[in-house]
Amino acid sequence: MARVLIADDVPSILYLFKEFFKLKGFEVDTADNGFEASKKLGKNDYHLVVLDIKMGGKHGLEVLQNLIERGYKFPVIVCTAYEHLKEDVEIIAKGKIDVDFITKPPDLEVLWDKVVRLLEKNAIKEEVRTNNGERQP
Amino acid sequence: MQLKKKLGQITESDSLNELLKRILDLSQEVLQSEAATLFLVDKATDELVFKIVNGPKAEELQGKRIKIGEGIAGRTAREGKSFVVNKPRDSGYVDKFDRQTGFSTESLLAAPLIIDGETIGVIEVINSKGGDYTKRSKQLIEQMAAQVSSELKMALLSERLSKSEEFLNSVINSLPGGILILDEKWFIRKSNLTVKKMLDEKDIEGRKLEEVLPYIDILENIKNIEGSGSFEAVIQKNSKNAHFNFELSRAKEISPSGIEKDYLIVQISDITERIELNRLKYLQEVNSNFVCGLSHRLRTPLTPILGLSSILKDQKDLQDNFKEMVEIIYGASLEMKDMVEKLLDIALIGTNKAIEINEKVDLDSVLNEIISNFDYVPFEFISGGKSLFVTGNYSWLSKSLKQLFTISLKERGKNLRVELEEDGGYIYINLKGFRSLIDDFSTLANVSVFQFDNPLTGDSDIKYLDIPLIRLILNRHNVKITVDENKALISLRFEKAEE
Repeated sequence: MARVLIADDVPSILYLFKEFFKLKGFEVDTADNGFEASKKLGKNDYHLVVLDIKMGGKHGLEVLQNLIERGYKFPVIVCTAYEHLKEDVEIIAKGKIDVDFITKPPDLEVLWDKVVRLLEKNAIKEEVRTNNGERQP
Repeated sequence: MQLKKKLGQITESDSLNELLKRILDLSQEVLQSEAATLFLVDKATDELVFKIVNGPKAEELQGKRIKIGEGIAGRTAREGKSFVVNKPRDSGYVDKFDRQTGFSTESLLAAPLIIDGETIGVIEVINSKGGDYTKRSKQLIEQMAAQVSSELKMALLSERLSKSEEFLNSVINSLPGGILILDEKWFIRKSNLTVKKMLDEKDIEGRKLEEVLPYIDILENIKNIEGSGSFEAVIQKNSKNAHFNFELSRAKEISPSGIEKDYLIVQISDITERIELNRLKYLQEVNSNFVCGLSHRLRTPLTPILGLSSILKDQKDLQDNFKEMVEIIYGASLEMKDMVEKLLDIALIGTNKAIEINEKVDLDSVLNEIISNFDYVPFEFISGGKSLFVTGNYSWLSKSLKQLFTISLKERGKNLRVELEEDGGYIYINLKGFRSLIDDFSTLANVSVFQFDNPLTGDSDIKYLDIPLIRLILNRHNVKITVDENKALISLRFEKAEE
């Protein structure tokens, strides 16, 4: 089963993504601040990280930076509506990990397309189940 | 009467011709001569002109000319030294004018008029009534010549001064700001038209500054600035606040007689519009930041509403009435999402970070808006479907385009240099220093070169103008432009004017 870490400091958003990925057949782990996200990323292996940028405790960019410094290769979906933050993320991640972006509130279908594309690109072989029971790579 | 005393009286005369005439009369009187002439050099013809003539044949000789080097006066001019000739006929000299006029020259005394080492004329007395001219006579005429030279120099200087004053007047009148030139006692010695309009006063010159500008704070500021400096002040004008910038500098005038006068130059600019604009920009910025922040904040609670309702509505085992409720929540949250996006767009338009594009545009009116910025438009626009043809003189057109781009971009307070160049069949409009503009207007990134059809080659292809920049410029002139898939429905083609 594919594992995803969701990091967001807003409980209702954390709940939404948790339920969404559970329905899609993921094993879901959550972090409600940047410190916790970094801690969990240091201990566990994930197939995907959904990362909010403007978070309490530790900024999402810092979390991303730590992740790359430790040599992890998880693809990351970054939640931000700020163009300049997108540029910063691309600069940090370029050539090291795959990133994509979503703007809140996201269209869940679009989000799912992005997830599938990133997992395919990173050759995640484990199958994840869609909410209507179909099989996706 | 002593010569010095007489010369003293002479200098009080005001007209130059009158003055020279009086010096000549005096020379004739002092040297007890029958006739006297004042010649001036005409550099263009290398001649001496009989400028002022006293004596029995004065009328006949007035305005006549002799070559420099010819006769005694001519030699005096050429050699720059005085000559005394008594009984010229004894030495075989016959004056050609004597022959012409029947006058008989018995004795002659001539001295050059020299200014700054250059001979500019000759003073000559003829036929001494008291016997031959002597060494004393020569000294006297040299003294006279020196006096004439000095008076002429002063006259030339004052002519130059009056010319420079005329020049100064034309310069200060052409300045956009108001100019007041004050003397040491704060009397207004000079002003320009702009300052008169600014202060709504017709007669300013000769009045004291405090009468024209009766504002204690302004007068105090001017008083407290030593040397040069500037300050801003507010003046109540037609019950409205007008903001002015005062810039002070000092000047010294040295008169031909060596007297020094200090002047204070006050340059006044009306900065009311700039201050108002800055205030509006600030308010707009505050407003936009608030709306931007609001839009971002609304996204957070909207995310779970939209997301969770989206998940719920697709649940197959949901009862129909609950399914309907969820669909209503989902529909309302989509509507809200749309509003949040629009709110952000509105905020960005306020900061000029985005430009509203929502109307079909009348190409004629767009161009008319643009060309209304020019006093004289040496070309015409003809609309033809989606394109506009521009006919006119190319150099005027490029100048006008350059002006248009420069004005539009300068209005944004950016120090941009606009250069037009023609190369490979296109006119390129290059903006130098564009990076600084991008910092403020991220939507305009990657814009640096704009293409127009070359008016000289007559290339009929219609190239699309760069949209963001055109939008930016048109927006500055309150003109909207429609875009279609990143291509503007406006294009310009320049045709070479018929000779």
